[in-house]
Amino acid sequence: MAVIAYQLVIMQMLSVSQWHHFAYMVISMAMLGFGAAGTFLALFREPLKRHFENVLPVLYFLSGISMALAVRMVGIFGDFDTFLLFFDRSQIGLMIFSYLAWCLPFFFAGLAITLVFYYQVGQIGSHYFFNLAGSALGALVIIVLFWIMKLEYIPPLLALLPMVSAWMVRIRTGRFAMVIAAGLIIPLIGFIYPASPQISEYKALNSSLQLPDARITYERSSPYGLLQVVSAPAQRFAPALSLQYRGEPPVRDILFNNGEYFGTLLGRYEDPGDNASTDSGDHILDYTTRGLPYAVRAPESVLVLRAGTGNDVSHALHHGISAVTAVEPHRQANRLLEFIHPEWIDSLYNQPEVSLYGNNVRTWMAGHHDVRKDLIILPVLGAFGGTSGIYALQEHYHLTLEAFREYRDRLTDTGMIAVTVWADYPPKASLKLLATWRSLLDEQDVTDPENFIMAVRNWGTITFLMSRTPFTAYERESTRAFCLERSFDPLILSDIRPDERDYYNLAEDRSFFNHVDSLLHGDAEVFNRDYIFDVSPATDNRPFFSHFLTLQSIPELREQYDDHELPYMELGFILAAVTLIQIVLASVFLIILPLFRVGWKGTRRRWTFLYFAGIGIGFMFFEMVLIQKLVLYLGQPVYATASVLAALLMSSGAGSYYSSGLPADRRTLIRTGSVIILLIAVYAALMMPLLEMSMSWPLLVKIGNVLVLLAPPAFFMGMMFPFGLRRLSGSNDTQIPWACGVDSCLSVSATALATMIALESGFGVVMAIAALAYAFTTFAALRIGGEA
Amino acid sequence: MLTDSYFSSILLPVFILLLILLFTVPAVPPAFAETGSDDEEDQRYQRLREQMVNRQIIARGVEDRPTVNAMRSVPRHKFVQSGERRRAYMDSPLPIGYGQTISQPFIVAYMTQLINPEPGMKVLEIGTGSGYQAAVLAEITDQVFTIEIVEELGEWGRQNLRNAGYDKVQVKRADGYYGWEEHAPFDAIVVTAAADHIPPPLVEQLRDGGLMVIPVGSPFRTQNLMLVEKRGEDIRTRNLMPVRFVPFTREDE
Repeated sequence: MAVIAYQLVIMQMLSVSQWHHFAYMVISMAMLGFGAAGTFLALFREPLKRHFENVLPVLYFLSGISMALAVRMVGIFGDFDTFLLFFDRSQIGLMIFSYLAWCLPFFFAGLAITLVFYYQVGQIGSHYFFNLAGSALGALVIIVLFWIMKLEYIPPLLALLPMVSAWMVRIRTGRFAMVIAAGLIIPLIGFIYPASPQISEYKALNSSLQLPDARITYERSSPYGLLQVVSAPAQRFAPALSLQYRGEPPVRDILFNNGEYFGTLLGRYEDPGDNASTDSGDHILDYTTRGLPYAVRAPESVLVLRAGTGNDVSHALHHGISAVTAVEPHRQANRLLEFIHPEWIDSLYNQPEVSLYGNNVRTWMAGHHDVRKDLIILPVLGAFGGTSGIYALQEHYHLTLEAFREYRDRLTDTGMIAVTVWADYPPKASLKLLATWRSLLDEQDVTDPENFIMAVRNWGTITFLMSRTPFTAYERESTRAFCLERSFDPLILSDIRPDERDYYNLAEDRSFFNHVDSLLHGDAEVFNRDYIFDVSPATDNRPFFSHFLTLQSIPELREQYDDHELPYMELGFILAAVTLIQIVLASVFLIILPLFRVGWKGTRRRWTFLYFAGIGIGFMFFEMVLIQKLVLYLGQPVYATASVLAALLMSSGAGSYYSSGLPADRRTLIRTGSVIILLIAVYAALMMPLLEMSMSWPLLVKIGNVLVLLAPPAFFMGMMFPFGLRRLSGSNDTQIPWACGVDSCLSVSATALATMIALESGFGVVMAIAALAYAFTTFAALRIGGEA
Repeated sequence: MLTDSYFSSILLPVFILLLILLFTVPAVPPAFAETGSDDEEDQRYQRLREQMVNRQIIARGVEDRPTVNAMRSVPRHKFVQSGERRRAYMDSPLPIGYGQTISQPFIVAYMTQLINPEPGMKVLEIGTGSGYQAAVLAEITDQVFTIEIVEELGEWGRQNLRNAGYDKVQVKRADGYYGWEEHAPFDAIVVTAAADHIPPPLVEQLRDGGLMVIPVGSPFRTQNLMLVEKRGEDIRTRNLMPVRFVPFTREDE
């Protein structure tokens, strides 16, 4: 129970201190710890067996101690920072050290569990059941702990569980009891002086905290992340403000989630009107490109997606909108702003005109088929100055082609979708958005997309509008007037003149305009193929809107940017590649190389390798895809991870247990393998459509659905590993440690590899490889081990 | 898509090798080592500075004489953290703590050149940081004013400027948003610590015909620069790309 819970708590801690992309690394850490434990057992079987009763409590004890200590150990030699990884080489050492330090609790716990299985074979059934039931329980209990405790208190609490186990199986001598009692001091210190995650210097929270007299005025943790409010007298809200604005931008507190900007607590903004050149009555956002939709039309109903702290709600209310619907998946933030501190945003979410929903965007859409809105506003994409591609691995299901299709279906006849993008160079996000919209309009057989899309830009942002019906000449003139007043430039209008595109905001590289025109008027597919970055639309199969770098483009980019700079083009992607190398090397060094000491004897080794390699890759690829896909269904990565882990552990454990009653002959293996391949194919095609039918159901019911739906494939997958081991059990006994080693090594590596392949080719390909891997396993079943 | 995947699978190992190479190529010029007397050290820094100016600045098209001379004169190694001194003349930004960086030498030179610096010009800098940009400006004009909002950085920047002999630079620890009204109007404003908006008071404090330059970009990347030109009520911006100008679409073969 503690092990799975610990895995999820590290995931949360790394999301707070760094970024979410370490999630798969944490899964690999746990796998590596267990894999290395298996190898260790193979090497030291005899001494461990001789001292089983002494070793077991020590391992539990060490597991508990390392759980409490790892959080502190990772900072001993300095704090690892993702942003410095490609700048300061000592960071590579820090990353590897942190990785190995986090692995320690898994190693000790893994060794203890494997030892019990190995030496108490007679009670394997009950041991296995309790192990899996505990693991599944751990995945669910941690979600509750996230709600009720601060993150930093959870590791010392979890550390107590293995220490209790150590106490239960302790050697009956006073000395060891004293050691355990003394060891309790370490978790106790963890409670008194908790080790909070050190937030990266390069996260937005730290920029705010550097302002004079800045302070954190509120802090609360939940499964959705760590919410913090920063108050500072010099913290102003004026994103990409018009240079014609002559007032003073409002000073406001900012809400951060996991150290990243979540929203400014703007509330109902009233222009102070103390400056003659500012039109009294305008909202501050009317002086940004975000004012465009209200300058073009007068919507009566507005849907704000991922509403955050309600800045767009405030804007809509300011324009007298009588029906504002806000959808924000961060329920903890909603509760805070709606019930606990509504005064922070002038009770915006409690206004009679406003309806707030705490749903994932796609979930809300699925439950509101009949709703029609005049204006749908999406959150601002990117950040001022760029994000260095840190979000490349994040699934953005609200920005896929399928999502925009749903938004378009929810528009009234004169409805519009509005998206604002921070300017980036080289241009990527704006072009990807445009490519997505072009695809959408192509689907509707629209031959004149420039009549349905308009955009304006200023020095920092571009706001795009897509209308259900063509924009009129009057609306185009209103846009021009809006631009003239604010010193903005039109970017897309059906009757645009080349000279009006950069009158106020000159672009040195005008090729951006050509790119925009190519996407609007030309062959979008040809453009997507020829552009150096991947700006093809994100889809539910490949929902990585912020991933633009392709492996093919790296050599070309290296010619233009130096090697120091290149990683900062898309840090998330490069980091995935670097961690893949690290994970592969760690698993080879810690799992495979030590096995050469015992040697690999026996016949048909290639078949053994193929069989277990297939299981390692197939199972983990399947698991990784499920976690990423179910973020769409369950809304939060932590819910998706916990549910998938619980479902797979429970059902594969049950399958494994059930397999002991079946003969491990070739026929059974081939039948089981074939069922798995078939199930992967069926799930790849039907799982999401099936789940989409229950998309709008309550979260707990959806978690239940996941547990039930994943049971069949996991059940059969759980049978293949013990079948394989039983096939080998009659042969030379060095085959078994190698089989476990190969499985562990490839499972560990597959976590990172699956992420890379999903980025490049989508989930469909990862699923196909998972099926292929099981096909190899099934094929190898023909030859593995002795005759049945 | 299938072809892409195959292509990727071939390129992946190549890419991994490239990354390994990236980490193994020496980051510090081998000619430099942190040993020797003060004089020898000064000479070594002088040599590195000369190399920096020739290879990173003149070779990339910064030819404004006062700017080039200033870059030759300012001891950049006195404006970085002690642990980063050996990297002071490298072609990259360097961290100075507080999530901030000192811009790469080329960007400092390019920004300086953009405001057409001349002796007697009144220049305001927003974001003192390490003080390096202010020092470069001070080599050209005596009227340099610099404001830093982060107290610790402001103090460190002030010390660096004093230690390097730039006593005339006026340093203030304050919110740069309001500019420095007593000394306004300014011929140029250099914003080295950009926020997500351009403060209206800074636009006000720019004299008619004045220029404001602002770097835009995330840490450790060559920034784009934004030039704000004020002509009466007409305020325009120009987005400038200091890196080599390249088409991002591939030519049809």
